[in-house]
Amino acid sequence: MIEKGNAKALSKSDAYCSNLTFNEEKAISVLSYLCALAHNKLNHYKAAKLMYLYDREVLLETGEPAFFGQHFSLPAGPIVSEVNNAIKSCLKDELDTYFDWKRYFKLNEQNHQLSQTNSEELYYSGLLSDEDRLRLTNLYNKYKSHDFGAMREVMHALPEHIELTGDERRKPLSYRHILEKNGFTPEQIEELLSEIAYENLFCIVTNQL
Amino acid sequence: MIQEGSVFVLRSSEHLPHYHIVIFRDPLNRESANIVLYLTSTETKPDRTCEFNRGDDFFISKYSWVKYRNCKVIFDIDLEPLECIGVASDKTMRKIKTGFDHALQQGKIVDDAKDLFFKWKDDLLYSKMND
Repeated sequence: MIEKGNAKALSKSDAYCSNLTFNEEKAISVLSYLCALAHNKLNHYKAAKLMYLYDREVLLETGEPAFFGQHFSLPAGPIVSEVNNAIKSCLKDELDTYFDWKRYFKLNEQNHQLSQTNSEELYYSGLLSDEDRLRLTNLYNKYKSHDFGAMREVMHALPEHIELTGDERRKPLSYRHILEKNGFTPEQIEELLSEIAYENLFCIVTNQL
Repeated sequence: MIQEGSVFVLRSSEHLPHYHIVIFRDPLNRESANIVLYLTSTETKPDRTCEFNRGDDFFISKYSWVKYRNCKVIFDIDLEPLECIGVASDKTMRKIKTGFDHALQQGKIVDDAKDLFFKWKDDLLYSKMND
């Protein structure tokens, strides 16, 4: 996660934030809500992008990410790595992933559609607040008519996105980088990284993750 | 003995102390769950719903605010790794609880904590009606 060339500027907080424990249940709850908004037919690509947009919006507005995952810039724009892998785990024959979200979602390889295995249920809904649901509804409505190309443009226009060159397949996007590119000062970033690391540690210690 | 107002810290050499406060417990003492909030002194992106200044309570040594968005339901057993350093004053608790009502209206509290809060409120009401 640590970008080359920035080593001198990295703090302990950067080190902690490069190794956070992913909040899997929260991610499932958010994806479940997005599926419900999409009447249980959510395009795979859009699902991954909405999950990233939600996570970075929460980070920029509240100072903490929703999922505590690892972000990367890919050719089609930024993603939350764990979310991407978890969504792929929903393919019928996919076995080779760390996550297994098959009992929550199914991913149709032919039409790239993600849907909940039980459309009546909202998984881990207790982890969401009304504010979360409002944010997700606004986000979904904003981008619901965007096709792949339009969505790609949105993702590439994000200040933190790194354009890949040559044969690069992905580049890490640290929390520091995202905050920096969105106008936070070095002092503010240091404070926020420390808070993010603390919240994640506290959740681990008290069995919240 | 955990009670409403119990203040906990997670001893960690790497982080400044954050003060975790039990703001609600089952009023009928049937459940070992707690609704827990914490105070942070971060000056970036503060939630202004409930703020404290140095000296407002025995554990508050600088400007702090309550992080309602991170409100959690935590069982007694999961609080064991934390150190209890005392009990917040009635004044502090009233202020945090008033802030909790505002945070509920603002939609900042996650459903797990919100639902438990209202369940305990109803339980207490029914128990008084049956007395």
